Formats: sequence, structure tokens, C-alpha cells
Amino acid sequence: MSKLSRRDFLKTTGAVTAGLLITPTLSLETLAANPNVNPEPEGKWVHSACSMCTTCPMKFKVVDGKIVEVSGEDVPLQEGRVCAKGLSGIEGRVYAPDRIYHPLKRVGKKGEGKFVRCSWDELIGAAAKNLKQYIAEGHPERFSIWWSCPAQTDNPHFLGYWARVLGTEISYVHGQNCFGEKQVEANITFGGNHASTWLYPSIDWAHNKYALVSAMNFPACGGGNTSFGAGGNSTPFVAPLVKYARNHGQKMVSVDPRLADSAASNQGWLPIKPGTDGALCNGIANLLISRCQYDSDFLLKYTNAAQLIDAKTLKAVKDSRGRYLVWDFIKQKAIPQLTAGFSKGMTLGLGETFNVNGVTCKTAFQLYAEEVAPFTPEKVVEICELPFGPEKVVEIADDMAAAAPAAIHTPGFTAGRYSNWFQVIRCSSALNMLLGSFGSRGGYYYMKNEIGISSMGVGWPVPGVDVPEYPTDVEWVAGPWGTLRPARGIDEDPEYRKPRRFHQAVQSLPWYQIDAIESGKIRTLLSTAENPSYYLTNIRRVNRAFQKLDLFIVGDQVPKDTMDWADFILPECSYVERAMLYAGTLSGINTQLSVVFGRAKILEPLGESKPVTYFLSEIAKQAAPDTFKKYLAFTDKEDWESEWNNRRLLQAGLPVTAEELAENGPLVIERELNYDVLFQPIKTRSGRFELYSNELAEECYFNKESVWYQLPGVYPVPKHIDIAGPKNYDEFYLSNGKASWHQRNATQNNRILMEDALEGGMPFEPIYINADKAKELGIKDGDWVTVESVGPIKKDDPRIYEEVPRGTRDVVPARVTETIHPSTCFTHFGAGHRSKSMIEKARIGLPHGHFLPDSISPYAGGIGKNYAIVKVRKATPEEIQIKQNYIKTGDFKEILKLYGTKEI
Amino acid sequence: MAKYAMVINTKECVRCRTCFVACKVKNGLPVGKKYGTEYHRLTFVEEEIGKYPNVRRTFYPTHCNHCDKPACLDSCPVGAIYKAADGRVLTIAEKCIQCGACVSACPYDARFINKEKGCADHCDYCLNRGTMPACAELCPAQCIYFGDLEDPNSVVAEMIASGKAKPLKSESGTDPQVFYID
Repeated sequence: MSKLSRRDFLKTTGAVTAGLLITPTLSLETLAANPNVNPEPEGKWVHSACSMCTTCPMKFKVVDGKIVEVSGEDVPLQEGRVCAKGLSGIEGRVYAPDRIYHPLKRVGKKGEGKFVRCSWDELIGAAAKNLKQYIAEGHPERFSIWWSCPAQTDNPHFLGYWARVLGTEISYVHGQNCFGEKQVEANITFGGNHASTWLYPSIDWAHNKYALVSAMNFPACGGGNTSFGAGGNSTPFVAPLVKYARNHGQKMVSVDPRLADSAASNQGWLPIKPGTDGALCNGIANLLISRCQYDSDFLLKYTNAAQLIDAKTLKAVKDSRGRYLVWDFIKQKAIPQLTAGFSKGMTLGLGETFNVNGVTCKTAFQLYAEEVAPFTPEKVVEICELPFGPEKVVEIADDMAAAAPAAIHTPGFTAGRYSNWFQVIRCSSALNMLLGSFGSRGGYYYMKNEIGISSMGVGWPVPGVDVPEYPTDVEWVAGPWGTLRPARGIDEDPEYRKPRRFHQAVQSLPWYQIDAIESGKIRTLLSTAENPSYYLTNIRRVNRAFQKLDLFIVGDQVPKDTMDWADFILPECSYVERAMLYAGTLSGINTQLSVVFGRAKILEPLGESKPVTYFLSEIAKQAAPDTFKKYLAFTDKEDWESEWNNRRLLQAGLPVTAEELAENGPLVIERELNYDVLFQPIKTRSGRFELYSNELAEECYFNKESVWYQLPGVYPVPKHIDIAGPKNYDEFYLSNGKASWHQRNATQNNRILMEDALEGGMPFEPIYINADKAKELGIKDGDWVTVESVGPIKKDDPRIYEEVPRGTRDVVPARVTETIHPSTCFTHFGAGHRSKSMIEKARIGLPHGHFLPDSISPYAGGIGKNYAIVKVRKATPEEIQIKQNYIKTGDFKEILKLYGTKEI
Repeated sequence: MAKYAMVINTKECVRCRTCFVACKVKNGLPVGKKYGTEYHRLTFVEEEIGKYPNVRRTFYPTHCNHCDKPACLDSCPVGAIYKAADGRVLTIAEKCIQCGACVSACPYDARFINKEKGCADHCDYCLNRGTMPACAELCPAQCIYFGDLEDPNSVVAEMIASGKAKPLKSESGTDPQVFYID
């Protein structure tokens, strides 16, 4: 498409005013000269990034210190486009009418949300005083930072460095709510070099022929939440690829209790009972195995499907040198499992047993076949409560087999959904191994020389060069997104004792953090760019814990639930007012595309807002002046952020500087698509993708020292596990998911994104109920309903750590729909905020976090973020009145009336 | 001379709402209920068809259809509405008396009174941006096709001529020039 300039356009059309068809009156020039028009502004483009979810390259025009125009960057696939969030972010967030421009101090009680302006000195002083005291007491870790997605957090690498040199705690608290559990599974099953492809998921969408997509509102919510900088899946980049695929015969089927908004544009919907996707995967696998439709070549070359397992104990057999074994059918004996890529003589051993030094063995594949054998199509229909006959399961298996290896299943980007979700991901991994869809054209694609935010290095000042050697008393290990974090646990159950209680990829454990606050181990907390009073589980417990803190500082640009519990509010400058560096890689139509893009400061911080990095360095100046001088003095320099980012670019070997990125725009690197699987070694215990997980077996399932000993959650063969469920006709799973036009729970003050008309037929705030169930309960569309927490409870699921308090309930409008499984109700993630400071509409819905118990999935630390069971009925007039009072006033006492309690 | 038309392929649409926001932001429409009601040139029409589980949900981004026989034009008592040579239906701000007759007359609910501008408002294919309409330009799925019916190479002309793309509510009698593939 050509872009005419305004002047050219008028020249072209102005000439034909004489020939107007109907009523010639005013010329187009006159019309165009109307003072109410919105002409394209003059000004220079400055290159940067969006931060509304997880970054797309974006550019901005600034005139007289104000952003007047926004656009995506002119890079392949994106071609100047950004989504609704990116387009609305400037007016909706940067210039929002309730933007916080000054430090604020609490007056009144925590939870009342009453604040007055205070000075930066007072805010910094309060934090510094406590940190200084903790350092003197020998416990700097009593000061903790909770940080958010790297897109919204101001330089998480600096935060980690700051914590490092001062010895404080730092935690990526929402990690397990996001993809943490899946990252663990990816590391266990595929090894660190191949984990990120599985995680995001990085799929060769353009050439995919069949995609069975669980638990994602895809493709508008690409990769779980439109993430480019984080993984290459954002809408502007992925939508053209999916379109290309559709035009070349791709079929995409969504597996979801509800027909998600964007998924309604796909070619099929399989309504499924929550938590049963593992049974579905096992059922499809069972068909593929029984009909010999699996990719035996792939299984033999790249997985440990041929590995020999003691048929009685189910432990791996090893030789005297500790090597895993396979059966060589040529030599007719057991030999060490060959290196990945080789398979000569190896057999999948279906239906066979082998004698290894008197021990009867089966292959991992045979064990897996036995595990999935009970999942006949009829059984799948029963367990998953599919509203179709068994032929539907057969149809899906047929379609996948026909399209393989350009066929995939994905269990979604984010994890931690129910207490069994780790094994659901395992079941999905195994199914994809049968399809051979790793490293295939149209399957999971491994980036070569991947450039991403995790691969650009941390940029820390070099010890012994820029700064003195770091303090060595605390071990630091890999954290999320390429950051580093302290290895110690913060309570008496550290993550790194032997045997490991949780896999080291577990980024943080929310319940540990809450426990630590309750026990006084954490006393001062800075929460930046996140909203834990919304997104964590068991929110009543979370907010109670926040009341215990000596000092709670919450940072952001606009109000949110967590702020109501703060002592101070930190006016963080917005994403266009600070510097950052991003990169992402994805597989395009003909090339592998990497984009490196820098966020220059587009505007000076507005009002008194500042980057969080400023706040932290000022605290350090006061609380630990010697440490500041040694390790943080560079923060007094004018443009230290660019210097920091230049270190990262150097560490990544990229031929560009931060200044050049801001001046000239993104660096684009295109490579040939390369489907090599073994571009790097497979870093699992067997050196192969593990159908049978040796790590789970050795660390957990067979390890008597492990707290997970013999638990099905860590069974080494992928296993479907039942979860607790509704027991009565008026009980439902309460599921939640994302709207593609919202930045999770952070944009419900964005007046553009909250317009009713934008929602169309998918209103954001109500609870969605199946039409037949609603009829049964006498509920009509638009009725107010009372939703009460009834589970899951410990008695029904031992993975529940702490139940939701009795009496937790809410009153919300019902949306009656045909597009949801009868077992499930649905609310949008971001509906139903609890804050006086937000717009009224944002308070209408139900905050699902209040209804989620704390649960733990073994070893992988999943937090069950969809795992709530509720009772639903029509609301009484009194209840409706209370909720309507609450919506109007935001006074939390009204909610407490619904909870039947005086305290949160 | 051009005759502009638009084709929206709802099968390619991923329902991300970018078109709605692009239109608002690029045309400077007031946000929220600034004048007591929301202003939007785009309206999403969604319908659930069928019963669980054999149900689907349609999704149509709709706006002014730039009809060849505009009902709004006929209804205007002061001649503020006209059909431009390039196919656009346009409203002249200075002439509009904000009576609302055109708003009621439009069979597509595509018009509204914009108190900020002081006139009836509707999609004008981003006339004053001087570029491709923002929705077509910025749609991530590129499912909004804008083109010239008199251009033999136009993909839009081809889609309409083939009969694959059809207008909404063709019984309206206004000869709408926005077409849908569904």
C-alpha cells in the first residue's frame, strides 16, 4: 500500500471537485481546512518501544515536549503496525487523567486508599532509614523488591545488581503466576538449550498445518500475552504469519472451557472441562500409538523413548558407569543410549520386554504406551466432559497425524493453572514428540543465534574493572529473563538444599514471600510495575500480609489495587520517560527474524515522576554510603542507562549502540530458516528429550529424601491427574483469561480500552455462564449473581496449601452465553478491581484472585491461578445494593459486608 | 479518479480491537463519556449463532458504508451531507445543525453527533490524515482491504467482483460500499 502525503492526496482529489456526483457544494480543500480536523503532525520520529505488554518496536513524534503521534516500526512483518494497547498507551497511560505525578504518603489506615502529597526526600528517607537499620542488624534481606515483567519494570538488571551489592532480597514474585511452571517443565523435558522454544511457544507458524491450542486466547493474545521482546509472539508479528498459514491450509482448533474471543476466529473449538487437557493429549497419543502414526525416527533419534526402565521398580537401568541404556536389536543386548541424532540398532520396544542382567525391562516408550492405553476415545470424552462423541477425538488424532510433523499441540504460554498442570504440560510434550514436531517445518522452531532480552547479558558493571569485586557471601544464580538472583531461600526451607525441593528455574515462590512477610523476615517491600493485590492467589491473605509490613512502597504511573495497602506511592515515570533495551527473535515466512530495539527517553519524566532506578540509588546513598561509593556511584552520571545498555549490547556481540538504536531505529537481522534440532546439545540427563523424565525420577519420585517422593505430580511418565471439581448443580470452576486488548490487569484505568463499544459482544466485567446452566439456575443475561468460594479445599486436593477464607463472595452481572462449558464460569483477568482509586466500571466485576486458594504443584511450583470452585445463584436485592454501593464509592467496607467480616 | 471501497475479511480478523483504537486515536475522537456518551466511528457487531457446543460467534467491525444511495444524505434538511467523487460520503461541519436526522436515518447506526466538533460524525476513510484509513493501515491481521474499484489491479475490486465479498443488510436499499467476507 502506498502512503500519500496529505499534500499529494489533496492535489489528486482536489482536481475532481468540479465533477462531484451528487450535490456539489464545498470543495474538499475547504472541508479539509475545517479547524476541527486532525492533520498528521510534523516533527521528528524518535525510535523506542512500547511497554503496554511485553514490547513491540515503536516510534514516537514529539512536538513541544508532547507526544503527538505514535507508530509501529518499519521492520519486517510489523510494517509500522502496533495493536490497540500500543496505540492507546500514550493517552491512556502516559497522559492519563489520574497519572501519579508526585510521591504520596498514606494518611488513614492501610486499605483505605487515602494519600497526601509528600516530598521525594521523605519517601527516600523512610526507605533508607529501614534499609540502614537492617544492614546494621546484619539482615539486609529484610528489605525486598518485587519486580514485574521485564517490559514494565525499569531495568530489572539494575535492580538485581542493586540487591546484589547491598544484600537485599529481590523476587520475581509473579513468575509462577506467569510461565514459571512451564519453564521448569521445559528445562526438565527438553533441557536448557531447547527450553525457550517450548516455553513461548516458538512455532514456525507460517508453515504450520495443524495447531491444537490449549489455554490461550490465540492468536490475538499471542504467546499468552502478545509478547515480542519477551519471545517473539506479539500480535503485529504473529497475525500476518497466522494469516499466511490459514491461506495455505492451516487448521487451528482451540481447546478451552470457553470460546475465547480471538480463538473464535479459529477453525474449531473443543470445549473441555478444566484441568483435563492431559487426558486429551494422552488420548490422542493412544490413537497415534495404536495406529502406528507416531514418528518413530524422531523418537529414536532425539528422545529417550528407547531408554530401558526396570519393569518392576520403574527406575532407569544403568550400566556400571552410570549410563542410561537402550536395547540394541542388532547386537541383541543392552548398550549405552546413543548420543542424540543417532539411533542405529535402537528400538522403541513396543509390546516387548528385555532381559538386562536378569532384570526385566521395558522401554520408556512402552511404559508411556501403557500409561496412555486407558485413554480410549470414550474415556477421553468422559474425563474431559467433551460435548461430542468419541469420533471427535479420533478426528483430531487423524488431522494431527495427517499434518505431522507440521502439527503441534501447545498447552499455552503461561502455566500454573491447576494443581496438576505440570503433568498436563508433560502430556503435551510427549504428544508433540510422537508427532515429531520439534525442529520440523511448521512445528516448534529453534532459533539459531537467538537474540532476545535474556540473551543480551545483564550489563552489570564488571567487577575488578568498573567496580570492586562483588561481595561473596551470597551465591547468585540465574534468574528470569537473563537476570541474576540470590540463591538463598528466605525462610527455613531454602530452595537450594539437597535434595532440591523446587527446580532451580522456579523463579520465586509467592507463598514463601507471603509467609516471610507474615513471619517478619521481610519488613520493607518495594513493589514495582506489578499489582500483587490483584494477580496473586488468596488475595485476602496477601492484603493481610501487606498490613504487617513496616513499610510498603508501591510504584506505578496510575492507581491500582495494591496501592490501597501502601505506606508510600512511588511515582514511577512511564515507559516513554526512561531508557531500556529489547530484542526478540521469531521465525517468519522465509527467514528467521531478529529485531533489536532501544527505548530512548522520549520525554523527560513528567511531573515529579522518576525511574525506579533513581529511587533505589538514592536510598543506597543514604543507607549505605560506602557501598554506594564503591558500586553505585555511576548512577550519578547523566546518561548511565545508555552506558548500561551498551554493555549489554557488547556482551551480546551486537554491532550497534543504544544511541544508534534511538537515532536510527531497530537493528534487523535476518537469517535463513534452519530446522536443525541439534544446533546445541540437549541438556537433559540423558542428552535427549525426555519422554521418561530421569530428573523427576531421580530427584523426586524415587528419592526418599524428597518431599515429593512417590507423588503422581512428579511421576516420570506423563500422567493425567484428576483435580478437585464442582460437586453440586450450582457449582462451577471459576476460570479466568485475558482480553487481547488489555494489558492484563494494568489497563483498566485506560479510558480508551475501557470503552463499552470497544468490547463489542465481549463485555469485560461480567461473569460468563453457560446458557443451559443459567436457565437451570433461573439466571438471565444481565442478572446480578452472587458468586461464593467453595473450593478447592485441602480435603479434596492435598496440593492446596491454604484455602480461601469462608465467606468470600462477590456480586457481579451475569453474561449468559452458549460459548462456555457447563462446568465452568469465566471472568476476564483484569475485571473487578478493588480500589477506590480506579474508575467505577473497573469495580463492577469479580477479582478472581480473591477466590483462588494457594496451591503448589510439586517441584515445578505452579500456583493454580485458574483453580477456583464457586457456587453461583441469583443475588438478593440487599446484596446487589451492597455491590452497587461498592462500585460507586470504592469503599472496601462494602465488600467486607459481603464477606461477612470486619477485617480483610 | 478513484472510487474507494473497503472489504473486511472477518475470517482473517483476530478480534484484537486495533481498528477501533486506531480510528479513535488517529482521528482524535474524545475518549470515554466526555460528552455523556462514547464516540466511536467503528462499531463491533457480534452474534452467537447456534447452541453449545455447535456455536460460533461472528464478529463484524462496522462503520459508515459510504453508500452510493446514502439514506443520511436524503434525510439531511440542510444539505450538509454529500457523496464525493471518490466514493466517500462526507459531512460538512459548517452546515450541520446537529438535528440528528441522519443518525436515525442510517440503517447501519454508523453516525453520531459529535459535540466537540459540533456536527454529525462518521467514518470518512481518514480523509484528513491523507493516508490509507487507519484501520486498514494498522490492522495486525491485515484483514481490512481498502482500494479503488476503478483500478483494474485492485484486490478490493477483484474480491467484490468475484461475489466473495458481500455488503451487510443489502436490503437497506442504500447500496453500501463496504463489503465483508465471512
